[in-house]
Parts: sequence; C-alpha cells; structure tokens
Amino acid sequence: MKKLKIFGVPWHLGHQYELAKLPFLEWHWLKQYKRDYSTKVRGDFMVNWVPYYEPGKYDLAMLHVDQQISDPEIYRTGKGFVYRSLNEIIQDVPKIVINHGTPYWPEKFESDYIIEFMKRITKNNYMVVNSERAAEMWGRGTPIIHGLDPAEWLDLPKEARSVTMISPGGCPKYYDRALLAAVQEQLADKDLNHTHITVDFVAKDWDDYRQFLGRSLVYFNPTKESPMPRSRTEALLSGCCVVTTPTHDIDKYIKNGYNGFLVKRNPKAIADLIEWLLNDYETAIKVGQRGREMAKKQFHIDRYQKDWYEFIKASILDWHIKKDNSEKYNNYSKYFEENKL
Amino acid sequence: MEKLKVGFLTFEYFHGRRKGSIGSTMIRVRWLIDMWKKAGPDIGEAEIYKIGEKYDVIVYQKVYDPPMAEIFNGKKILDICDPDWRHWGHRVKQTLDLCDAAVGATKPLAEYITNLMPDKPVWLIPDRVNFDKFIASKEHRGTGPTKTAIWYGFSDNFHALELAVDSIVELGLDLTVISNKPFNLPPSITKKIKLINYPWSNEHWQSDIQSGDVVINPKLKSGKWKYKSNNKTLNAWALGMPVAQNEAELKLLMTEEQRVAEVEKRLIEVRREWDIEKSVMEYKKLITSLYKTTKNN
Repeated sequence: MKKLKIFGVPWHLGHQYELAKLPFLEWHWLKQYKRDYSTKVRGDFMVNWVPYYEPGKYDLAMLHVDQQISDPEIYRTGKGFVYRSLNEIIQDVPKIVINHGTPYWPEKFESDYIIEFMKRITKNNYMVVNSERAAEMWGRGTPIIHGLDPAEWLDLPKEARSVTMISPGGCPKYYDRALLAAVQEQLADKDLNHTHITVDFVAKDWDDYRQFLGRSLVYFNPTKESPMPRSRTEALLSGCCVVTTPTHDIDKYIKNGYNGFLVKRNPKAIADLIEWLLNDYETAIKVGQRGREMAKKQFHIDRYQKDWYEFIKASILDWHIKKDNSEKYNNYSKYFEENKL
Repeated sequence: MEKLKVGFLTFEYFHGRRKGSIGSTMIRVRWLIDMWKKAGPDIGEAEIYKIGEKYDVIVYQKVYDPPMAEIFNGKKILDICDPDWRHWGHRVKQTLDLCDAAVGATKPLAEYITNLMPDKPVWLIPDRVNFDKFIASKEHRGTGPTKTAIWYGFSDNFHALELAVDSIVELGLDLTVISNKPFNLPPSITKKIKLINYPWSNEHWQSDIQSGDVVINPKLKSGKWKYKSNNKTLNAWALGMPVAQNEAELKLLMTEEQRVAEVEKRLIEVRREWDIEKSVMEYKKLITSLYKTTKNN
C-alpha cells in the first residue's frame, strides 16, 4: 500500500501509538523541545523525525489541542504554543486537529469561553474528537472512538484488587478525582486499599503497567467529562471487571451488571459494589470476561483504522475541492480508489 | 552562494519568556536582526526561530537543545554569553559537539569554549549597541554637581552593588537601583542616603537610567564575573551616562564639567567601536565561512 506522508508532533503518546499504526500513513514528527517523546509510555513506535516543516513534502498534517490551551499562558508558551506555531506555518495541506478534551474546565473558565476560543484557533481545520458526547459539547468535530489491538492487552490471573488509572494531576473536576478520593476513603474504612495507578503505583514502563493492570480484578473509572477514557478500555481488554461512571457514550457499550457496572457518583454505593466484587471473585471474573469480549468487538484497532481512513479520505478530498485544485483532487481520489483499507 | 535563512533560537523563545524580558536576547539577537539587512553583505534573511520553520542556519542563543540539533542538517552555531557550563543542568559540551561553530560574547568565554571544541571555529563577537533602539543621550549641562548614582541590572548581582555602597555614602550621593527586585540598604546605612528602587521595565529602563547623574558598575573578580561582558557600561555610555567602576573613578565624576567631558568622549568611542553593525558583519562573515570550511580559521 502506497503511504500518504503526514506531518505530526508528539502530544498524547498513548493515543498516538495506535495512530502510528495506520497502515496508509508515513509519519514525520517534528523534533522540538516543547512536547517531549518518551519510550516509557508505549515503547519505541517508529516514526521519522524531522527538524522542521517543509511545504510541498506532505499530504496532510495532524495537530493536537485540548481545553487547557484556552489558558492564555498555556497558549502563549505551553502546549498550545506548539499548535499555534505549526498551525501558522502549515498552509499547503489539510490540517486535522485532534481535540483530546472537552470544554469542561470549571476551575478555570466557563465552557462558552473555551468553545469560542477553540472555534477561533481551529477555524477550518478538520477536527476529530474522542466521543459523541464531546462532539455535542464542542458543537463540532467528528467522533472517532479509540481502537486498540486486543493482543497487546494482557488478561492475566487476577489479584483481588481494585485499581484506577487516571493522570495524577490537572483538571480535577474533569477527571473527578474528588470522587476517586471519596471512594478510596470508603474502601479504606473497609480495610481495602484502592490503587491509583500513577500515584500509588508508578509503572516502570508499558510492560509493567500492562502486567499490573492485567492482574487487577476490578477497575473503577471516576471521570466526569473525559471523553471515552482510553485506560477504561485498556482495563476492559485486560479482562478487569469495570465499574464506571456512565459518561461519554459508555452506556452504549456496557450493559449494567452484565459486562461491567454503571454507577452514579455515590462514593459509598461505589465502594460497596467494589467490595462486593472483590469478595465475589467468580462474578467479577465473569463480568470482566464479557467486558473483554465486548471491547474486542467495539474498541478494536481494525474498526479504528477504518474510521480514520474514511475521515482522512474525506478531509483530503474536501480540502482540495475547496481549494479548487482539481488535479490534486483527482490524484487523491485515484489514490483512495487504488488503496482501499 | 545562495541566500540563506538564519533562525536565532533565543533563550527568551526557548524558555517561553515574554518578549523583551531577557537582556541577552535583546542585545545578542534582536538588535542584530533589526540591523541584518542594513549591515554587511546580503547573505539572506534572519529572524527569531519559529518551531517548525525551515532554516539553513540555526543560532542557539544560550540554548542547549541536543535532540533537535542532532537531526538538523543545516549549519549550527552556539552563541554563549554566560559561563553556563558552571551549572550542571546545561548541556553545553553536548550542544557544542553538534554545532559547526560557536560564538563567545567575551574573550574569556571564547577562550573557554575553544577548550571545549578545539577543532571548530570559535569567534568572539562582543555585545554591542544598536543606536536605533536608544533614546537621545542625556544632556548634563546645567544639571550641576553629581547628586545621584544609578545602578542597574539583575538582582542576582546585588552583592557587587553592596560593595559600592560605602563609597556612595562617603561622597554624599543618593542611590537609584533599577532591577527586577528591590534593593535594601544595610540597616546601618538606611538613614544616611536616599534610596529609590525602580522596577526593571522594558519600556522605560533607559529613561530610568538617565534619571541619575552617573552609573556605577562595580565588578567582582570571582566566579562568573571574569566572563561578564561590558554591555552595562556600553548601554550607559550610549545613553549619555558616565560610568564608574570603582570609587576612584567615581571621584573623578563628581562635577558637571567632568561628566560632560566623559560623556562626550564615551559617546564618540561607543559609536566608533561598539556599533551593532560590526556584530552583524562578523556574524555574516562567520556564517559565510562555514559554507567554505569547517576547520578552525
């Protein structure tokens, strides 16, 4: 398959790991000092490193944003700076923007401000979001739900423990760390130790993380407006019994009590449920296995790659139509005809 | 030779500081870029580096970024104005090894860098003055005897100022300090002289300096001081301010006539010897030479 050349930049390595596997793309990542690359998250996934953007060399570009770049200081000099600079420099190819977040950052700004800011900075770029709910909240964006390779997630013999994997800091209400803390407290009262991965347990590398997760019986997801958290899917694919707040489309996939548990934000009720699951090992295993089967179908990398193929095809063709460039439009139409996924 | 595009990756840009907040970036880059087209041969354009932009030459101004330097195939120059190797956190040697040349802002800096990279060109391009960026020089005639001494600079260097305080007291002068933090006098001196602190401002640092009669610029001999440039003195001269580095020199600048004579002499000197156009020409010469050879010349 002839590959399209795409220009990108490190941003959210967990997310980008699967993007790097898209078989029709040849990635060229900008080496720069603002957004670092680390092999700790997913090992070394092969991309070509380039020192600058070169017009005329690429078929498309992919940039990244989230609600935090609406902070003027972050936009000026933090992670928003990378988007701002590259969005200005890249003018000759369609730009796809992955919006990793939602307009929910109540500690800082009203949602309306964040939405307006995002509209202003992304304008006519093609936007992908991580959930249908996120598209509703932003008022734009094409949802592409993540898709992982089930073979990479380890369903191992389970320790009777419960875990959560969310980032250790930033956007506390978005992740609802207060709920996590309250559930941990309730469980502590029951002499149960709920592990916050990244805080209580820090993995040495991706293998270490997958081993730990794969040996955990119960996974609790507390998030409020994080769009379709990837770590919850990782837990599903690892055969963990998932207990989750019913946000961002997950209720379309999890049938309460069958292949996971949907819970209200009631720390005591959640802690009681987790305790019950830890005590009823067999039920937790069964629910976890059904969750794994569901995730293998719904969150599979094959579906994800097809979604991306269609989105990229539509974006490139639309861009060249709008640019009134019939020669390039025809060339790309031919490419997609000859290189179907 | 084809026209080149030169990107200055500045300390200010790299560390996300506000425009105009970093003196070394102002003196060693912004003043040069503004004079780039006017001075020396036309070798192409120069600008502040932008992430993602393509350049033929990158000048790392007090920036140590080996990962990017490793894959950038154009010419690379490291411009050093402080002895950053004295701090463990800077990857000076690693960056130098990836560069084609280096520039030191002072002779001791250039000499030290030469030890670190003996086989590549190391040039001395001192701090100079872009007169387009300066307000009119101060007129001392009719201002009478010297009343106020000015000290300006980063608060990190207050300990040098502290050594000059006794002289200021002895000569009965007031003291104005222009810095990023307020200066405090020792308790024993507080009531003996009048002290005014002005916060450093990119907009009015020049007029703040001109609010006094003489600039004091005491220097130490220890540590980083031997590597320091004379840019504070040059800037003061360009503003029409006499400069005293010690008590003896200060005593020679106590009358209006002495100050007028000193300022006239220094203005001629600074315009003749320390014009930023020279730095632009030297930089262009260095860059051009890199396209001819990489041996030490």
